[in-house]
Amino acid sequence: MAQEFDDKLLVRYLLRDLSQEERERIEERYFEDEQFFEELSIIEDRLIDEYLQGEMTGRERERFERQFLINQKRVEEVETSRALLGLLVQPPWYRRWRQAFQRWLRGRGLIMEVAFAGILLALALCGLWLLFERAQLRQQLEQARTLSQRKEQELQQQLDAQQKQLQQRDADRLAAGQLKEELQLTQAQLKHDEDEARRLQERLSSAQKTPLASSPERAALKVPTYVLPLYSVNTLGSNNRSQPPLLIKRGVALVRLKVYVQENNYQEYSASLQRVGGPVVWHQSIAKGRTDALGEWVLLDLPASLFKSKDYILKISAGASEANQETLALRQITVKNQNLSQD
Amino acid sequence: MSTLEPPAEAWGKFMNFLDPDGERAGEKYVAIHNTLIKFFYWRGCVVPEDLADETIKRVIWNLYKGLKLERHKLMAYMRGVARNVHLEGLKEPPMVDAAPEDVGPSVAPVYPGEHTKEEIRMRCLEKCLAQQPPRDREVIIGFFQYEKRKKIENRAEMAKRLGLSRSGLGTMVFHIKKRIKKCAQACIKKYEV
Repeated sequence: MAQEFDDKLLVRYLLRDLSQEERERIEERYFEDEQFFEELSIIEDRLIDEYLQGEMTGRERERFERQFLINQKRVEEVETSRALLGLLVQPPWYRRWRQAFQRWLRGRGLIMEVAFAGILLALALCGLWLLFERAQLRQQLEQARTLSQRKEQELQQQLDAQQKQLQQRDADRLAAGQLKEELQLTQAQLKHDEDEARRLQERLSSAQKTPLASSPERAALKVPTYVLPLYSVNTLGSNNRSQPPLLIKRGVALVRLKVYVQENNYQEYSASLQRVGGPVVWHQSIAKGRTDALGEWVLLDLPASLFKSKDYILKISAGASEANQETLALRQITVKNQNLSQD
Repeated sequence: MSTLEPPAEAWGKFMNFLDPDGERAGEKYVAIHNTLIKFFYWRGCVVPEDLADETIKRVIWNLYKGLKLERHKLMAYMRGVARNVHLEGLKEPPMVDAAPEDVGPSVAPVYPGEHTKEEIRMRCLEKCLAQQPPRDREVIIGFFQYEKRKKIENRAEMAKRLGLSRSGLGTMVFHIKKRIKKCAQACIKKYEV
């Protein structure tokens, strides 16, 4: 190919898209040069193939049809190229089948052609409908999938909640079991305590029925009762020197004092025990006493451990308040407590 | 515009001018005629064959009338005459190509039996393709296989296998197609009733 003319320029010449001057230069060339003329013919043939194979742009195609297909002969030439191209790209068996089918169809006349066209149209419509249905079904499937996923999530959440509940219930059951055990233990302990209390009550009752001297329990209790005669307040000092000491024997835990007081109108008394020259070691309110042939008396129960081997003053007072109390009896007591190690 | 048909003597003088050897003269005449037809086609003329004939007639007459022309300048002279014929033709009313359906039934080709023109053409093309040498048949079928990039790669591979350049392969395919089409035209004419 001459270097001065490239393929694009020659294509433009063939489609009559050049100036007169450019056109005449090319024409001058191919009239003189047979090889150049052949090359131009090859480009023309290639242009036809490109047109037939749909390899042109819209503008090129339009220009080709307008400038190239100018008469029937050119059209025939292109059709022959089309047929040859079809022959070259199609397998022979397909081509023979297509021709035989077309021959058969034509042989059946117009009605058959119309019927066949109708069938093709119906098939095309079916195809469109199927595509539409497919799109619909796909959409429904997507929706169903989304719904299913949502339900799955909800079910999973419910399952998790139930599992938590079950775990909580197990924990509660365990705690309840533990509580039950503790309750059972407590109940057992309570029963034991009740049994013990009942037993002690029985012992107490039987001890109360038995006389003091003969009761081994009473002896075990060791509660001696000391009777203290009545003394007025003013006779505390002088009368005390002649009284024997109060002896608390070894093993005695409780000391009971029966103290006679002057008869009066008081409903309650208070009693106190004070060490001579020392503090008050005991104090108690007591109810109105009983009366016998010797007079009114009150009973005082004091723990033996209160007494040291010393002198004490026992005072019985009466009255509503401490400020208005009247001393009813005073008694100095000398105590000897054998429970103490010095004794 | 039609020029009077030159006498036989003029034709003889012209053919001798082309080449003293009668056979070679005939080949050169065909080549000139084809070149003129293409010239007029590529200038957009609807009836290029008539215009090519007109051009050759004028050249024959001029040579017959004593025009002194060197053989190697014949084609340049021919082109000049062809330009004039084209320009004169542009001044006249445009020619309308007569489509086969506009022509009487005696001219339009008729094919026997139920065969259409397309079927006859296809059958002839198949026959003519089958008549090509196996290598040429393989080349032309292989040349049009595949699409786009694969087609380009395939053609490059074919050219390499045949020891040709890409344009050389294109030229080979062009000539094979030309042979097949020429064969098919002759075949189709035989079917015409």
